[in-house]
Amino acid sequence: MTKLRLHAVEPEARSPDAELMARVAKGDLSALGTLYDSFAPSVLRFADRVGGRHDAEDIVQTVFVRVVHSAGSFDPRASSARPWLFGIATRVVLERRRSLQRFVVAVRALAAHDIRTTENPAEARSDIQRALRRLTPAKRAVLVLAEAEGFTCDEIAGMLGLPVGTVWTRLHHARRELRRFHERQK
Amino acid sequence: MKPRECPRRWETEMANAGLSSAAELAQLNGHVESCADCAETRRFFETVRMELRAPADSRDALSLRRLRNKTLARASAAFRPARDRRLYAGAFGAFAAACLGVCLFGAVHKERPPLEKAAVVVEAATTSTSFSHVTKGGSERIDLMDGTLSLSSRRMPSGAKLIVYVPDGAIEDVGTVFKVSVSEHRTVRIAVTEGEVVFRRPGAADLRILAGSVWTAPEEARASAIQAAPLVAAAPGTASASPLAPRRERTRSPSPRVVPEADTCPDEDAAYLRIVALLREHRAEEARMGASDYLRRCPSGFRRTEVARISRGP
Repeated sequence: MTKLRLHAVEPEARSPDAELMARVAKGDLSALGTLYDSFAPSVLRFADRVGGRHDAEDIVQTVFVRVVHSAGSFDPRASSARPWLFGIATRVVLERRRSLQRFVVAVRALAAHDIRTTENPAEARSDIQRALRRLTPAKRAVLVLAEAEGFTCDEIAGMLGLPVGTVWTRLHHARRELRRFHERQK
Repeated sequence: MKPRECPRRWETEMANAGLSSAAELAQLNGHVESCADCAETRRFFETVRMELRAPADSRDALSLRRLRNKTLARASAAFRPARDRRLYAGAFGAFAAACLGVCLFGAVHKERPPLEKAAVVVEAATTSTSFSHVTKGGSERIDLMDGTLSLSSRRMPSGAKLIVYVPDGAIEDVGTVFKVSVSEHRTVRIAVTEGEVVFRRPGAADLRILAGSVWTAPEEARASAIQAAPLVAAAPGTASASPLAPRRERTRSPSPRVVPEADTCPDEDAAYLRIVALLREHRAEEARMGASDYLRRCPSGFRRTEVARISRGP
């Protein structure tokens, strides 16, 4: 007769971020506060760059409300919640831009304005900033994630649910447009 | 003067994106030192990175605090629907379970509708039993010519009667379950299960048969109950579990229906049975003729009232 030996297997220890997300999923507001303190500054900076300063605070609030709703879907094996959070932030920014774009298209016939010229000129402190505003939201988001936040193409692809080639292409076009605008200004 | 675009500019971009190996990076570094365009490209990428990583116009601490409070307040409101959903789901589940339990309980303990309590339930013990059943004015009349009938009468309306006419008499039911057997034109057995019956025969004292009692006709009894001597109240043909309880006072004041008559119509019963048989065969005209003959021959017959009605026709 074959004897079976069973060994107790301890569950893998979760990362601190995974623990926090698990508590948020259970409705722990203090865990959400800890999460906010850890990641809100970078999310706010990202929202400033990609969404615009006047929308940044609303974007941050929307991001953390979605965290409450989506905390249950966070992968507990992930070492950090940062890519997941930035993925939410990117989607929020793009959704807002799309809805704003639809509104502007409807008003364009009357106002005859270009959306890019409605940007607050005070925000574009430099050629780079101005060039950044002229990018499409999708390219701008990828560029900021790669250059400002330091995510790799693979991480950005995972965040946004895109193929790596698409991320690379958007990054390449964003840099090329920035370069051309910068050269024209010079 | 703007340097012409170097065809290896894309390598600089790849290196900037972190996609170059160490060997490729080393080779590219050597190329950048001698290529103005690639050097300019590398400097541009570094400028973009520094510009994007530079802190934006910083918000004051109060604004950041307000933002935090507003964000956590909105998130807290988002928590409540989830908790409420769980609460509602739990409440709904409990309610559904309670409803299911009530339905199951009701199905198990379903109050059966009360049995239709017919005034009279007549069951023929054998297929050859010959009888008729007429309801008139709330009263029930059953004529048993031959065979055995099992009767159950419950809650007769006040004033209503159930009378079973047998060849040699009549059995009045007073809310009873009983069985009566007739053979060769005479009542041979009456068994009372519940209640009591009164067996009235012409020329004989009324017999009150109680619950649990069985009366059987004596062997020497004739077919015509009228010819027989009046029965002594306490001496039935055979005794049963409970003695019969004829009442002496009844003999003193007989029922109006028990009329001791002289033997003026010896074949009255046979004549009546012939009339009933004709009616059952839907031979109404012949039945009327038979009824007229009965009345002529038996003007004081036991069943003259009914036969008179039959002779008058519909």
